[in-house]
Amino acid sequence: MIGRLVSGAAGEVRIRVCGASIERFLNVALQGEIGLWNTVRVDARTIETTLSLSDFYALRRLMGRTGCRVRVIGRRGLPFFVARLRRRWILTGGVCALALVVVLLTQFVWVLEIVAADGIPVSALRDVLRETGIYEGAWLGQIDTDDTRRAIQSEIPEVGVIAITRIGNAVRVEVDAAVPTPDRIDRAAPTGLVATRDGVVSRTAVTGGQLLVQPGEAVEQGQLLVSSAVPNTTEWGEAHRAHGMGRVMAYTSRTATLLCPLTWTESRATDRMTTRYALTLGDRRINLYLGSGIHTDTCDKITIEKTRLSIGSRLMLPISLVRETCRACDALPVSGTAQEVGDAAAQTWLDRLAQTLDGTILDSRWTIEEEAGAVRVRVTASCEEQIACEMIDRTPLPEKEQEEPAE
Amino acid sequence: MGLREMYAALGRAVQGAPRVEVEGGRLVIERHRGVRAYSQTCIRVDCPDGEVCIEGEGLTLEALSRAEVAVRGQVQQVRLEHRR
Repeated sequence: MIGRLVSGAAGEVRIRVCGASIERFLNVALQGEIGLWNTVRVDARTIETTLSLSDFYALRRLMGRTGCRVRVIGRRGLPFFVARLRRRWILTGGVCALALVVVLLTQFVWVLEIVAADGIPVSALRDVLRETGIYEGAWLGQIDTDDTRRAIQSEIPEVGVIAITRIGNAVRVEVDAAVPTPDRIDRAAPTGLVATRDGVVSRTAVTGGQLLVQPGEAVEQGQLLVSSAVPNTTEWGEAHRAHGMGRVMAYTSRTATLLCPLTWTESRATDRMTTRYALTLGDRRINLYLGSGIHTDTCDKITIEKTRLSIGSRLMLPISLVRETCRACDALPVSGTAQEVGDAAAQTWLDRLAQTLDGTILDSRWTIEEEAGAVRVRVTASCEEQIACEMIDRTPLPEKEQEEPAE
Repeated sequence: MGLREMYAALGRAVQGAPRVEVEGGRLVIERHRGVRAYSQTCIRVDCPDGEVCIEGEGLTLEALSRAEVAVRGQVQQVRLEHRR
């Protein structure tokens, strides 16, 4: 294959040789160090063979000795291609200019993909990238990934892992959040646990401090459940301060009153669809339709497809075709019965409560009252949840009982 | 390559004996002096010791140079005819 490429680059000629002594022609070519290939006997006086362009010129000097006539029946290779192109200088110049433009355009970043974990501000990340020279339209040679990593770590402390990957002229920045350092607990700090809401204690699991309540006991919001003042447990021991820690589960009751309308409007999609096209060059957009991009009808933009021009899968060009598909929608009034609306509202509230509760919902019930085109729903949920939270506790240490001296 | 093979190759190089290789549908002759006759059924190649005669059907000269002659086609018989 490499040989064919080399011979194609050098140029080769297919000739037809006619004469009485073909063997004489072959031997003269051999003596002249001329290589022939794909020699085929056509008839008793004719052969066809292929030789390189340089050997063809050398053969012409030897033709007098062969006693044969040579006629060119085919030409192939780069020299002939260049000769054809030389006559079409505008085409050649245009192709070269286009190739140059494409090569220049691929030296810039045209695709910047940022993948950031939750909690990391993408806009701040984009600003830092722009300051360090990574943005759409930036020259590839100015990108210094080490500098960029250092800048991101210093400007955005929430960032943990940073990966900057360059694939052709597309840059992908992946950022993951740092694992926060857990707070150190000062075990000697005077901290107790208080109740966050009213309830009846069901279970306790205390790992620090003095538990003041028992299962089955009713507690009020703000009541001290675990004290930091731990009394002495032995005759010779002393009372001391501890950091109250643990979980106190209690049966609680949660209520809510919801007001929902019986009629509302919903957006229903129709069969009317419009498709629009636009061209983006870098960060400029050229609409391929008349008018503005604002739709007068109520509609949903279902899909926006962006097809970027690229060379292979690695080299991106700053030209992309944007296709927007819009489906018109109609606003239709929708109504429901009081029971349906009330049940849906109550269930939605209970689902939201279950997601935020540190415990479980044991039972729920609700009442529905219809009034003036709306429903009033009173929802009550019986829960078992964790109600203890830490609070500064200044309860004085219990005094040690003094023994009365013997008389 | 063993000692015997090495001496044999050296001998051939010194004496100029032709070397014929057949690989698949291709026959290569090294150390030749030219083509005596060429047709689609018979090719005669001149060698220092004599002639190599190749008979067959649809014979073509795939490559022809000072170093070697390559013949492709349906080769039926290869003969080395020594010169007296």
